[in-house]
Amino acid sequence: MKGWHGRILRVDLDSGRTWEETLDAKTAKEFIGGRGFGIRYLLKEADPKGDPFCGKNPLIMMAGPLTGTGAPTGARYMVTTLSPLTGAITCSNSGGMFPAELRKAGWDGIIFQGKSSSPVYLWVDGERVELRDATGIWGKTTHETDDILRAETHPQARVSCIGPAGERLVRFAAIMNDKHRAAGRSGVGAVMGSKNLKAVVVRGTGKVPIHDPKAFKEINGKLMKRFKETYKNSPPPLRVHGTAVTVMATQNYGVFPTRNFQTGSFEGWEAIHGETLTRTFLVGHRACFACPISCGRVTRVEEPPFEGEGEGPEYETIYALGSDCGVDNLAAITKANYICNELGLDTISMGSTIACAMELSEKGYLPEKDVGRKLRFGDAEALVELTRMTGYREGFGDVLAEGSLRMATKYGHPELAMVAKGQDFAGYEPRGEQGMGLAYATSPIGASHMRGDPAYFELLGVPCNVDPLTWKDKPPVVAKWQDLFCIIDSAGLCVFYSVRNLIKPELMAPPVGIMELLNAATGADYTLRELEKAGERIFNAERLFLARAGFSRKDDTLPPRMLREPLPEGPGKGMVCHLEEMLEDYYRVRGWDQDGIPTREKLEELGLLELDPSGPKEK
Amino acid sequence: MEVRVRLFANFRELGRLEGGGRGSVVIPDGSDVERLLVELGLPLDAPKVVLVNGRNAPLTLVLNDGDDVAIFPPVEGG
Repeated sequence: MKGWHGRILRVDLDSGRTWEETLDAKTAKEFIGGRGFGIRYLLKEADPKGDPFCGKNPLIMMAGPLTGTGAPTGARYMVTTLSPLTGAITCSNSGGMFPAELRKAGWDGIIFQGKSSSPVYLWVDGERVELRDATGIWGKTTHETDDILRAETHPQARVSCIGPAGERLVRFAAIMNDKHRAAGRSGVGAVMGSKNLKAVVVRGTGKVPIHDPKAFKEINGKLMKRFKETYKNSPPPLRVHGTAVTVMATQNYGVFPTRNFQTGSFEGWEAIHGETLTRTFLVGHRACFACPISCGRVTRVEEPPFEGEGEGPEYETIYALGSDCGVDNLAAITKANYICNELGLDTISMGSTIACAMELSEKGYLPEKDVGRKLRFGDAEALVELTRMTGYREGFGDVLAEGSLRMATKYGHPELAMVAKGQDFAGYEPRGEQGMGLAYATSPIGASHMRGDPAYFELLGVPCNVDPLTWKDKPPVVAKWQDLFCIIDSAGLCVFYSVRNLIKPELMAPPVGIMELLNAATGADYTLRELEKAGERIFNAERLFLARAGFSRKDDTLPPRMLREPLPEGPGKGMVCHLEEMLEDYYRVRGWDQDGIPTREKLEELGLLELDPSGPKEK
Repeated sequence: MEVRVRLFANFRELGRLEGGGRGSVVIPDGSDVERLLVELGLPLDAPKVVLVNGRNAPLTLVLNDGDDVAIFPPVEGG
């Protein structure tokens, strides 16, 4: 096999045993890698109704066949496991340098099972693999851990680790790699913490095997030439202003979530916009492995009391810790972002949970004595302090650490948690962006913008403009983009580059560029139809896992605010999200029954029947 | 008639608009989006998103006095 190493590292944390498992070519082609491999192993090995914190829950880290090859933005890996936030599957994606290093070390991925009796870290030095004692670094921040472990192993090693939040099982704890990159969502860091696994440290000096190096080099050259041509007059907006530039788009469309999604227009938006960040705190930009965009923000804040330095904030962070909390203080948002990175927290769920607490408090449902302070929208100091307290589960932080839905339920108002399947919304208001509403409701990991991201065609003009306020036309497009993201996430590529450069610029987004790269790298000879089918297979495999866990149509929903309260202002004024109408059509397009369960015919068509223990028994 | 215009990201530098990429522009009655872009000196063929009063607008959309126009480049990520 080329492209894939065909080698998975298995680690049993109960016994401390490590071994190599080989991967067959058929599975590799059908599930591509990354996200696809993750769900393939989860379906085989995890109990869908199991406890995310139990030793049996596998923690699966998988890179894609393009990760580390030098393909533009081939830098990513996926962490798949049961989520302590949603109780369902999760997979969370990250870039940086760690995933490429893992591939250079000769591995496609690592699967952890069991629980260590004391803190450990895994040291992967190419072929040599060793579990080492981590008692001395338990309690350290992600940045301290990164520094200490590189000093202890190799200065050029790459570290993926948890911080105090993961150790304390904060339900939205992240796994941080290369200090500032996050597999952020759904509590993958808490699962790692529950296994007493502090970090994975990797050093790789080998090369990823390429099937046809000459063709691969030619495709890469062609892509880089085209990229340079596109931006010959001015550099990519993402390099200049970062993802934070998106604030101007969502604000203008009236879908910039504000004060726990009470509205979609934030009066303080200019103070927290990407162009403002560029003028104020930006020190430089940073790229992940083999990335021509370089959207990472290196920043420094000198304004007391929010001094600090690090990376961020991204658009999603600015929405969650900013407009959603009514906070227009960019220094405070950036500081809270640094704390999230260092303690290992998902900035989206952190901000969304504080926003929910602010609304509960303003409405009189959350007593001041519980929080320990008066809590109102716009309180920048509370934002920063509550973020720190959550990472350490201190005081009211212990309640916030359970996530918005559990907190809002505790105070009698679960409807005020802006979640789908228990996971907080991303920075797009579903009433003013109908396709995003459908994507949030049907995303296998709970609300996420990175499971098909309709913002591209509804707001950002990529590959073309579709009216965000219409709903009848959305189901087939959302389904197609969900499958496309399965392909991108499995190949090991970054969405930001792929949707502009590796698909044919049509609404239904044929992934022709990804196919070319994959074929040159792996020799698997994907046809366009086979590759699109693989994307659909992966999405359906995730749905199958959800169905086994007891999820169905009843869970494909949004909070009542989205479905019944009209958006109060902006271009979408008066709109609700027409989810029910979209779902009917969406299930039909998917080949699922009206309860949202994949039909036997669909599973058979995708070759998933053999993975469904209940399936083959039926007649 | 007069329309309110806001330019973002690199369009701020590309467009002929005083006041840091925001201001009012006087154009003949009956002008469409394309006419406004010419007035602003923006390239017609460059990929862009044009919003008129918060809604996506084609180049042929006829503008009205007091319209709010926002113009920005497509961005790859959010």
